[in-house]
Amino acid sequence: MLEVDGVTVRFGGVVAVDGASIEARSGEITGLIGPNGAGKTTLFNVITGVQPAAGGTIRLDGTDITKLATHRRAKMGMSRTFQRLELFWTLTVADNVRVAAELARHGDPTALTEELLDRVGISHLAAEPSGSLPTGSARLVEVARALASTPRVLLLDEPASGLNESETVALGALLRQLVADGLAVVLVEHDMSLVMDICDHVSVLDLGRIIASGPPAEVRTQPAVIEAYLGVA
Amino acid sequence: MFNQANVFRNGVVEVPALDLPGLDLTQPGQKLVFLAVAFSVLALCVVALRRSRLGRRMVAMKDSPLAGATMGMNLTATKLAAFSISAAIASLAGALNAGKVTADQFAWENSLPLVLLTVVGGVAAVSGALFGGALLGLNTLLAAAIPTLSNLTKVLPGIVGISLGRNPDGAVPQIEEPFAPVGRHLPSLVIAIAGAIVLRLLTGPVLSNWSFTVGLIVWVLAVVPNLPGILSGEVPVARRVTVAVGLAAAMLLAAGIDWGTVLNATGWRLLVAILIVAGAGLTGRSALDATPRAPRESPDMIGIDRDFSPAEIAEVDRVLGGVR
Ligand SMILES: Nc1ncnc2c1ncn2[C@@H]1O[C@H](COP(=O)(O)OP(=O)(O)OP(=O)(O)O)[C@@H](O)[C@H]1O
Ligand SMILES: [Mg+2]
Repeated sequence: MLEVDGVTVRFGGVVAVDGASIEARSGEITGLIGPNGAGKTTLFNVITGVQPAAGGTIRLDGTDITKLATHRRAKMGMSRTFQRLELFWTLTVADNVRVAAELARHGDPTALTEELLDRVGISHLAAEPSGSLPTGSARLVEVARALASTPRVLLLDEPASGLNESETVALGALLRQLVADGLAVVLVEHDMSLVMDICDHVSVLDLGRIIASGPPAEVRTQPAVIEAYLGVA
Repeated sequence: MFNQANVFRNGVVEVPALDLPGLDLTQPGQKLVFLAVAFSVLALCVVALRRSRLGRRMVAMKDSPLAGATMGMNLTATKLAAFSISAAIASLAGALNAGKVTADQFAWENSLPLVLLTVVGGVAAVSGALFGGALLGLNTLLAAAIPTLSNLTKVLPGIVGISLGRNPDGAVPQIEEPFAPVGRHLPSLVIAIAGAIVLRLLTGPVLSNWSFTVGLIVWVLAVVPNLPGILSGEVPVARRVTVAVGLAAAMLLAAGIDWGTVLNATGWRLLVAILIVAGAGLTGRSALDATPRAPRESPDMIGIDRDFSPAEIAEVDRVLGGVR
């Protein structure tokens, strides 16, 4: 569904992403892990068109979208959350989700907003100004808002940081339900137990390069991964 | 642009007053009421716009263009809509600005204080435009009434602009803040309105117009914001009584003096009025707050204004993969 092929990003002399290729398939959760500064967020920025790529191609359902404007990619069914929260701070929680639902033009925005707040478990916060939320709840608003644009590919940048254990488990269960309905998810996350539990496939990014990829159980045992990511355990 | 011959021939354009049946807009009194009505109608339209789909989208774009674009928002189109609507409102104002219009009214150094004072009022609130306009009018009045101050009034908008550094959202949100608890507390609201009505009824038989005006200012700005605190049980009784007595004394003073005869020069009246508004406003702001808000913890300050918790240290260790 989403194919990222040999993408490179440079910031001046720094090569943040170096010929990275990943793939997200409908009905699967693809984990993207790697130490801090590996280039995960930068890769998301390139996929969503927020940051231009110095090389490589991005395809959605076989169409080359490498040069497409951000909002056009969204219209094609791509959505994301932000590690550094990007909520519409002066709007209420419900209005944050509603704006995305209205932009997507799929059915009734009010009903969709209510349904998503409920699924993510923040219905009780609907009328709160989103600027006053603790990080955990704000992350869940980001997830609900991303889902409101009715994506086919969903990119999640550390959605579980700031969530407590039961909230994390609930988020994992929700993601499994969503992919069962045909969504493709790419999950960037430092919570290894969540990644190992719910991902069908994991790619490891280190210094901008994909150093390993495969089923979670296989990836976690590879010496290169242990050295780069988990440290010498 | 305004200096071009095809826009302003000889630098002057005659704009005829709107021709409405039953209204003579060349009369200042009728014009004032008409403009006030026009402003209110437009303000309502702007409020309606903000609550509409497009309004929500524009607010969202202001908060995070990045998130907006990733949700499928065409930023160029949305900005274009915002600027078109502003231009439409401005052109309507131009059409209502009947009379002799000269090109130098639109010189950039004349629009500077306009923009600045609107921002000082608060661009995010509709009432911010009213507040900014009132400030501008006050400044012009002050310059006309006290010619000695004319140098000061030229730079006054700039000086007022410095307040933005402290308060980037403008004055209106701050002015509204002490009144929010009154809206939520029905007895206070009833007393606030009743007090204003009593003042009005006393005007004529007991109070002069000047005393009414000053009394109303003190009542609205100083007394009303303190009502919820005085009436509810959360503040110690002794403090509530002290504040109540102090405010009552202020009210007596404000309504008891016949300001019109005490101060007979317009300049002095203006200055004293400004001082009274400022004093009353400050009293209202330091209101007895029955519901103190918990200071919000900024995520950026964690580890700076307080130590890391053990859980956070563990998290850092885990994320860094045992580097420490
Ligand atoms: N706008 C930028 N300008 C310059 N360098 C940047 C910029 N954004 C990111 N970088 C650099 O690119 C590299 C990759 O950063 P990125 O944020 O993508 O990492 P990440 O894998 O998301 O890390 P984390 O786990 O901390 O979120 C880092 O070395 C970072 O310093
Ligand atoms: Mg990141």
